[in-house]
Amino acid sequence: MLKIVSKIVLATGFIALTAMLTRPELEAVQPNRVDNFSFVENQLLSSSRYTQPDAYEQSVIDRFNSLYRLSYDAQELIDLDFLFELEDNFTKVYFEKDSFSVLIKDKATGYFYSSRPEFQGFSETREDNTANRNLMNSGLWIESVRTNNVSNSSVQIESLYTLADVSYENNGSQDLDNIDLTRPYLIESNSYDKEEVSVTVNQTSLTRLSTSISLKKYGFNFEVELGLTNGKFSVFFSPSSISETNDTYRLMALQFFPYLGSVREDVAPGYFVIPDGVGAMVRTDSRLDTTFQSDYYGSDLGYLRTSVADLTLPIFGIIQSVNQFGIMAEITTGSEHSTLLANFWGRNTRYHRMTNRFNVRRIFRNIINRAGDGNDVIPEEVVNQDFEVLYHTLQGEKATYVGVANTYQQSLISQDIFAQEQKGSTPLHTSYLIAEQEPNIFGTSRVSMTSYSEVKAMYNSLKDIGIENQTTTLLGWSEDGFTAIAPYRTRFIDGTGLRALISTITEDENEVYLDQEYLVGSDRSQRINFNNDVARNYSRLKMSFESRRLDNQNTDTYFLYPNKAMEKLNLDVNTIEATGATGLSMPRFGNTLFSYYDGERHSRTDTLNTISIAKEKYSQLALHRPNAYMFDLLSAYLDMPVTNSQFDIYTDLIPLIPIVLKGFVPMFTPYLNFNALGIERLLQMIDFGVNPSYLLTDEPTSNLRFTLSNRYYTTQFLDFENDIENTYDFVSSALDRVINESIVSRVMLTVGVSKVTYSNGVSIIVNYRQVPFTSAEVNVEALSYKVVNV
Amino acid sequence: MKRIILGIIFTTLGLMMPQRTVTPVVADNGLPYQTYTYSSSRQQLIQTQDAYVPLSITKNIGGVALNSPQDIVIQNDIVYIADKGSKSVLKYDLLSDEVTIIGQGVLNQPTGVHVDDLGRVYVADFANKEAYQFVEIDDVYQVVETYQKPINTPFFEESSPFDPTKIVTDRGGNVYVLLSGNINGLAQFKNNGEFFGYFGGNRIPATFDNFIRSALFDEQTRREFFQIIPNPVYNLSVDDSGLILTASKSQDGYLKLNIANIVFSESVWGFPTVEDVTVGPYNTIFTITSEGYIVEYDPNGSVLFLFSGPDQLGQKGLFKAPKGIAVDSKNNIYVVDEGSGALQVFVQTEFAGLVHQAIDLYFDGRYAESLGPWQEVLKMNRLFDLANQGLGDAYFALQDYPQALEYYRLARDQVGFSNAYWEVRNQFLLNQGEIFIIILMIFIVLILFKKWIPFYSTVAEGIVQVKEKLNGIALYRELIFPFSVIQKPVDGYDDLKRHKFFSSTSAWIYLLLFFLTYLVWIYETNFLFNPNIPSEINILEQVITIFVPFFLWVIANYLVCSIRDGDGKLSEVFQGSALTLLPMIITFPILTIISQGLTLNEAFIYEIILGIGVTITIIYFFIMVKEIHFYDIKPTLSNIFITIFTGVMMLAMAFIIFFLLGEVYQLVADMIQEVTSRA
Repeated sequence: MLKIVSKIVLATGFIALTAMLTRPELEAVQPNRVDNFSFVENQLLSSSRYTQPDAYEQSVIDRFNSLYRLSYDAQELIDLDFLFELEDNFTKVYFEKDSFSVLIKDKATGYFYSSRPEFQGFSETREDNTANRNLMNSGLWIESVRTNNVSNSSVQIESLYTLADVSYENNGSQDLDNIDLTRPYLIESNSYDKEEVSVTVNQTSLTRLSTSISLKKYGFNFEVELGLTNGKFSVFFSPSSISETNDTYRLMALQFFPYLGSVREDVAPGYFVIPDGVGAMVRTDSRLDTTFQSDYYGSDLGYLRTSVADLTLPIFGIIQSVNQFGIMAEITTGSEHSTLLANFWGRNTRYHRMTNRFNVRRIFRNIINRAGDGNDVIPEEVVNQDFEVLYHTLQGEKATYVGVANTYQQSLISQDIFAQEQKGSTPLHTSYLIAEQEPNIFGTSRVSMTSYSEVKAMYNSLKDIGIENQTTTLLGWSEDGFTAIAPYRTRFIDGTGLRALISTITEDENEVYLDQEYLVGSDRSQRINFNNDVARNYSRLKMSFESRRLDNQNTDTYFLYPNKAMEKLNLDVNTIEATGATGLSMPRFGNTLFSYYDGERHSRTDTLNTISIAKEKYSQLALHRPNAYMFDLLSAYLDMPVTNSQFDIYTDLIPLIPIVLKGFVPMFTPYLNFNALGIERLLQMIDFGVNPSYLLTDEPTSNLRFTLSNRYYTTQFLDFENDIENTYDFVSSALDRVINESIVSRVMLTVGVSKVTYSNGVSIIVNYRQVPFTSAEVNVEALSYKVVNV
Repeated sequence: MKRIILGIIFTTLGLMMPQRTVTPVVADNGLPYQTYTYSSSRQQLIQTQDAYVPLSITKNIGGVALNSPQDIVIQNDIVYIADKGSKSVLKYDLLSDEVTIIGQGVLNQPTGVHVDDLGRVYVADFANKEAYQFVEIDDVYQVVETYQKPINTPFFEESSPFDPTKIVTDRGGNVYVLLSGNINGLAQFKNNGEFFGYFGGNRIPATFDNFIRSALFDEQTRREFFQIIPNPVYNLSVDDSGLILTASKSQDGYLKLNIANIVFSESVWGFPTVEDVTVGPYNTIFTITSEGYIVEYDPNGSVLFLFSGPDQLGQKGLFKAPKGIAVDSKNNIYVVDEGSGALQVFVQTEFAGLVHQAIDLYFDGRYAESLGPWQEVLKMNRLFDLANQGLGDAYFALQDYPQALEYYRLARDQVGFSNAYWEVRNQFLLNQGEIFIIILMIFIVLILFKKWIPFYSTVAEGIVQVKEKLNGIALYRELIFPFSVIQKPVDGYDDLKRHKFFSSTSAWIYLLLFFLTYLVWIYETNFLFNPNIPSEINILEQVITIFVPFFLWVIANYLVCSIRDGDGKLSEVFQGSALTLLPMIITFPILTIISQGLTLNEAFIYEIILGIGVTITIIYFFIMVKEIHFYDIKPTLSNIFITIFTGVMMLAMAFIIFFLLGEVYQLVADMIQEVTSRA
């Protein structure tokens, strides 16, 4: 019997051994981008996922220069009543008070930027009706609402000309053989009703004047200051200057110079620059027939207003003619109450225009029952923040999106918000997940993913392959767990190990951040008291939003009272400091800004002021997609957007944020573990100057299967060790040459091939195409890059 | 369940979009949507790597503008688009970039287009109420056949509508014309235009209420009064082997029909709003819904990828009113959208490329060759169950059963796991055979030499001594009492009632013991026999599952019997019911333990033991009621039914009271809110 059994065992063993020995060698399959149809390849590279070459036809440029290059002579300015002037060494601004219009003249080129839509009537027919002309020809638009009929649809938008009931001398059409630029603006004498609208001007200096506006119909009175500083034209408005004497009406918003920089139909070889995501561009050489509207800094959930576009910089740019003329608007204060508006040539207008709306009040819903019934109301008080916008004129090579970004960058530098980065090599960001919680019968149990000694081993292993500059974020360090649990309690898993690890990393002069979040939590957080901590919106409802997902990981997201959030932050400061960590890494803190109600209504400005306490407690923060107001304490920009909102109207993807930050703040891409785009993503990182980032664990990812962290579906270091080395080598071979340098130019040499030039003269040519790029200067392999002029 | 998921999709995907996620961005490839796959181990959708990237929105192809596109098909890498606005079919050659316009002057409202292997173009024209076959003759496409409403056939009355919307052909050249709203199926024509019947019509769902209605009413009443009619087919496609795929509104996913008009396979999961269906180069099946969700299925109908969605704000990669979907030889997806009057193209990502490469080998039965691609897929997504399953199959084919077992376990692939386990267990038994034999020999020796080796008597003596000591404890006597009830139920329940051999304390212990063994059973039973995922078991739900029915039974039984001449007290019903759980208290651990060693081949053992346990428990419950209340058999039966009915009624009453209290609370809360908000 035993013999038989032994024989069977031996036979089975032999079969198994044979099977193992004859097992085919495992091969890594790594397909590159497939050799696709030229139609698809063209669709891809000419899509708005890439920047397109400025391939405007010469005839368009010539037509622009001959017909649409704006200039007014002295007599014309007098004829149009531009009687007030501001002037410095670079710029001269002409102001006409009744319509509240400006003409900004760049002294070097003599080019005029007008607050009115110029070249009206060039269709040689009557254009638009009087109501529209009144809106177009006036540079101050007032939005108001009747207090007894508050709703979004009842908001009235009127200009000074509308309120003054202006009528015109002619129908505004032009004779193209005998162009008279002043013709569309000539109004009938005495048609401006000065009883209804009064604008008084007090010029205090050659570079500053203040205006007082009085609107009789509505009983609104307010002041607006215009100024000129180093060639930049500024508009300043303080809501504290508002007086409202008629209880029937309330002021909602103001738009200053809504047509400033506007371009007509397809005549301008240029584009609009929108700070959406990583950066977006809309080329204005075609009829788009649509509008764009988005608040800066995303959704204000205090008003239940949501926004898909992610405008993290308070700027926009209008390039009227590439490499010739453009204008950049920068909101220096009040951006948290501003909305970016754009209208594009279509059925309702012949012009592409973009402007800011400053919202002094916003409509919210007064909810009276659980069903959500109620009525629209407005707050009695106006916002407690001044509004100022600076208009930078861009000439020559500055008249590009790079010029827009560089101009903003210079502005930030002049405000001491940035300091030059001082690193010796390309940084790598690694997040290590220490542990997560998994549900079990009695609650949850810990799933350990990486011990601190293993983190240290991985850190050293990366160091051994030459990656010296590592920025480390530790996730899941609290006994609470990780996903959707923040704010975490400062109960460290293995505090001794944590401190030892941090000490090791910081001795190498590298940074370690602990993942934490205070402003946003969830129903799973153990540190949030729903009644005390979760903020109420203006409708007095708790700011708890159910975010249901297809993968059933449903959580209620909580937005906390800013002062409660800061209380928690204060409580943790000493404990966090004691670990020796460089600072915190926060996913929402830098990009969440809302109004709230806690017995009285607080605006976004109050939130901003409250959370600024963090700046006193931490000098370095690694923030995920932070808004511009957080730049002054930003030590690492995490999760750089790969694209923008990809609206139909967007024609190009541009690295607007990377150009602003390159050379000053290290920027990291979202975890490359989850990169589905392959080498294209790496090429984009090189193109944009963005550094690699990985999420790592020591234990197999499958251990996370039943935890909330299963959305991180591949993390094990063993899987990524080689990948990190290869990616880092690929990226750093280019970016090491431009470390601490700024981007000064970026052009598309052809569709799918970009050339980025840095302040040290080094250029990187990136070829996204499936075929090599060959020019007189350089050859670049398909899906590759080359560094030139080293 | 599906409906719930769909409800969530429709109501919340839009909500998700405006808000950023709480945690850092995971799969940020710059897309306006997230990509999901179906996890067999989780039995739900899970997030995965992005599979497709959208390109530009194209409103003209090769210089020809699209104007209300209705359908798209790709044959030999030539794109054909039926365009209602331009009253023609646009043909675009992806290789040569040539554009041809087909059917101008003939077509009036083309809504469906199909091209066969010979390059013949079939077009369904809704307005002309005809379908056409175009053939290229001298570089010009000319109509060579017309498919129109048949006459002199019982299938069509004179008043019957004939509104062609879609069209396909099979490998035999038969033409299938989809008629709008026709519940009989697809009108089937020979290639020469001769009508010969219907094919692929949907059947009336075999639901319980339909069964009752069909038993009670004639067909006309069912159709007219209850509207019991089959769903008309909404769209169709044909795969490489000539099998017809159909999609219908209000039916999830798609159906694949064989030539015998029988459902050959169908989607495992799907939306009930499929707008179009097509088959890709790897025999994967693509559907797009009227909301814009694209689902790619593997050839067996499991969901590979779910992505895209409705477009509310003019974003690329999303859709307003999609009408048709097609896939070229490089697996690029083309979707025509009537809402934007445009074509959108999606290219597959590196991840999707790997999945397709692996699927190609896997469904070709080349499991071992699919090992490499699956490993790469898994490296990119460790939770991608199809890859785990594929690797399990690959290792199984390579006879590496322990590895196969591990991957099957991760994928919770019951059949694969069972087969691999059978092999592993077999190997284990063969390896450990000697030990079993040695243990057996020892027992035999002990039996043979029991005279000289007092093993049994020593052990038995010890047990007796312990038993004697324990017998002195009242609780112990009570706890072993149910075992005597099992042996002699009639006497046992009589002892419970008359002699109080069992107390409420012991009953509580039995009840808790039952709950404990139940928990062990649902937690620890091998997943081959256990649909529960341990981490998803909610303890509160389980408490409700066990204790609420139990106490409803106890209370209802006592109440019913007290008005129906039953002699049992409440405490006796409680005690009797609790001790009657003993068979299940014994069964659960046995099931849990034996499940660890069984494969699906021996599932009958598991089922028989479970069946015995449940049957004995039911019988003892019956006897318990009879003896506790001193009933005869007939009143016992009626009492049990009335008890169950009473329990259900009590539950319903509790729900109503709970609901009403909720309403009162809400009313008060609303009043307070209104007063404070107006203050």
